[in-house]
Parts: sequence; structure tokens; C-alpha cells
Amino acid sequence: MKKSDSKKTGFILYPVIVLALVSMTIMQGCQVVTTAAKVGAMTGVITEGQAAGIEKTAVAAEKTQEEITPSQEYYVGRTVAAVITNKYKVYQQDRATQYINTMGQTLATVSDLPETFGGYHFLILDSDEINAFAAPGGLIFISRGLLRCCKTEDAAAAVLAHEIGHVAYRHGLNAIKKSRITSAITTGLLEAGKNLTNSQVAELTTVFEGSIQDITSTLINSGYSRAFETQADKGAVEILKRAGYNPQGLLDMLQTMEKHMKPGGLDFAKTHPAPKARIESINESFSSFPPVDESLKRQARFRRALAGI
Amino acid sequence: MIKRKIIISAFTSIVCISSFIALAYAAANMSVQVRETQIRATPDYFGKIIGKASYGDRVAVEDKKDGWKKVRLKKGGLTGWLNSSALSEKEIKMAAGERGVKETASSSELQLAGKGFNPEVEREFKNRNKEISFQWVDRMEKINISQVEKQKFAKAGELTPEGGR
Repeated sequence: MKKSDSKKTGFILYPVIVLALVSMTIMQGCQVVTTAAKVGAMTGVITEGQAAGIEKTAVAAEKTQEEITPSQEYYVGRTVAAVITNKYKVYQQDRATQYINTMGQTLATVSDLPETFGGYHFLILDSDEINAFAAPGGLIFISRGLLRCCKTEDAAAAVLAHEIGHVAYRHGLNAIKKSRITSAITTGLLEAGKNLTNSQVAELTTVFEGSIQDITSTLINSGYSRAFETQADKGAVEILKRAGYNPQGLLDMLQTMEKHMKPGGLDFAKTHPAPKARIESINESFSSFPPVDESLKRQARFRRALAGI
Repeated sequence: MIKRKIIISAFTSIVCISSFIALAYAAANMSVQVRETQIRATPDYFGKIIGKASYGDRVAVEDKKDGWKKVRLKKGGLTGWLNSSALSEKEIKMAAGERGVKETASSSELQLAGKGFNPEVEREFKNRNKEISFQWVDRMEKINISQVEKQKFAKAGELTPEGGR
């Protein structure tokens, strides 16, 4: 083989080799830590017990990103939703409920996470607050106060799409303190294949209660990070485009919200970036949208469905 | 010298290719990770529904397109398209004797699911927090809009979709 040929072969092979090494490192990263722990124990630097502990923690840390599977997320979401529906009264108007579910489930179909374990479901909260909550897995709540900030169906769709964004990006689960999950894995509580004893169920339920507390206090009191809100707004724009709505509806809704929002309020005023900041952030990411010009049919059904709001 | 380089490169590429083949093979079998999902004739939600799959069902992936996977059900052999969001690379095993098997247990060395936050934990939570009612949660979960109704809604509202997944 000529020298130039071997150079060529090398040219082609090197990226492949680098790729292989990178993928091997990703796959084996955890093993390196656990092997180091074993070596540490063998050389007497640490005890075997300590080594086992380090191994477990390393495995746990590796898994914290994915240990909450869609079925577990579903049970977390149900309980978060239960806490919300016990704090707020539900608005019982079948036509309005059916309407936001039809719109919301249509929007969810074109999101980045169209299917969750239990699916997407929506309720209106009988509250004047400007508020909305998305429980993990797709149980979504919108207040009457927030729906009053929507002058068009496109604007209402924007509100639902933003909440679907929080679900699709799993923001709720991110609010759970990592230490809770890590400890539950390290102690084997989240491990599958064993039948848990009563005391283990009790211990796991305590972890569960803590996780629910982390999520509900984030949703109700502290709010998500600005980065998460921006991500949900951007996600909403994409969902609206895919579904055939005008994303300008989101900006219109934020402008109305700005006017209606009471400073110091215990709702979006407390948990979300100011509407103005959200508008600026959306404008930075997208070129401007045409004004919302809904068809008469769409406008009419929106008015009809939410007449009592 | 050159020969040695070639041999080393060739060996490394064989290792690399075989590990990729191994990875590809591992990804070829997947599990349904949602409670229930529809198998469609084409890779989109407008596609005709030809069957359904439930939590834990194993499938072999034969093709993929725009967020959809063409699968063959291990049980029964039905072939059709499932949205990727309904599928997991992890194996989900059912725990024998569990009440409501479809919504519980799953396991494998990679996976920790059913034994974690599950109906048993929810029951214990309810015991401890009797003041928290799940009545509305149970009610809202029953509100399901069919694909036909969604299409009617889009058409009646004169929505002009860019097309999604």
C-alpha cells in the first residue's frame, strides 16, 4: 500500500476512533469510578465498606437523571395534582372544560412529548389569580384569572402550550432535590425486583412526600428558574406553529397579563418573570409574527366556550 | 511502521464498529413505557389505528421516521408505527401477582421503575394524608379526546398546521 493510501486510511479512521473512544468513555465512565473504589479497597486506602458505599453512590449519581421513569412520573404527577385541587376550587363548567381539553390535547400531540404514561388532561381553577400549574406527566391547571388575559383562542392556546412545554421538558421533576433521589437509590429503595417490606414502603413514601413538597412549593411559591420559563415559552412558540396557531397569541396574552397583574400578588407576579421580560426574551429568539387575525369561526367558538370566564 | 499503523487502525476500527453494532442491536428491542398507545399504519397521528400496545409490551424496531418507529409486537407479531415518546430502550418486566399489573412493576439491571413510586406508595401517601382528596385527579384523567375529535377541532377552527410529529 502506498504511503498516501495509508494517510487516507488514517484520515478516515481517526474520527471513527475518536468517536469510539468517546462513546466508550461515556459507557464506562461509571465503571471507572467503581473500579477505582475497588482498587482503593484492595490497597487499603479505604475500607471495603467504604468502597461499596462509593460504588453505590457513583451508580446512583449516574442514574439520577433517568431514575424517575414515566410510570413513576405519573404517580408523582397525580399527587401534585391532588395537592393543587385541594388548594384551589375547580371551575365546574362542562363546556369550558371540554373545550380546553380538546385544545390542550390537540396541542400536546404536536409537542416534543406527545405521549406520557397517563396522557395530558386539563382543568380550570375557579380563582381570580393569574395562575397555571403543570404537574409532571401532563395534568395541567389554568385559573379563570389567566384565561381572562386571553382575548383570542390563539392566546388561550399559547397559555396551554407553555404549560405543555413544562411537562415535555420535565421541569417539575427537576424541582425534586437530587439528594432525595440519590439516597433512595443508594439504600436500594428505588431498586426494582424486590418486594418491599412495610418499613421500606414507609421510607419510600417519605421520599415521595418530600418530592411532592419540592414540586408543589416550586409551582406555588418559588417558581421555576428564568431559564426554564424561557424554554417553556420557546417550546410554546414551536407547538403553536406546528398546530397552526399564530405565536403572536403568546405575546398578546403577555401584554394583557401585564395590564391585569397586581404587583406583589401571590400568583404569576411571584412565580414568573415579568411579562415584559418574557416578551423581550421571545422577541430575541424569533423574528416578529404577523398580528393575530383569527377566523370568525374560531373567534366565535372561543367566545362561546369561555363565555362564563 | 506504516503497516503497524494500519494494523492498529484496522483493529481499533473493528473494535469500534463491533461496539456500534452491539449498541444498535441493543436498541433494536424496546418496551412500551406508557399505559396504552395506538399502533398506526403510517408514521403520524392521522394514520389509521391498526392495533394497540400496553405498558411493558416488547417490540422489535424495524424502521424509524420523524419521531416515529416502525415496530413489530413480540406478542402476536403485529407490525405498525408507534410514536417514539411511547417507547423506552429499557426492558420493563411485569411483577407477577401485582394488583393492576398494567400500571405497576418493571425491572431490569438498567431500570428501576415499578418498585419505586407506584400504586403502593400512593396508597401509603393517601393513608398518611387523608385530607388530600384525589377525586378531581381521577375525574380529569377520564377526559380523553379522540384523534377524530382533534381533527374536527382543527378543521372547524380553520387551523393551518405546519405539521408536527
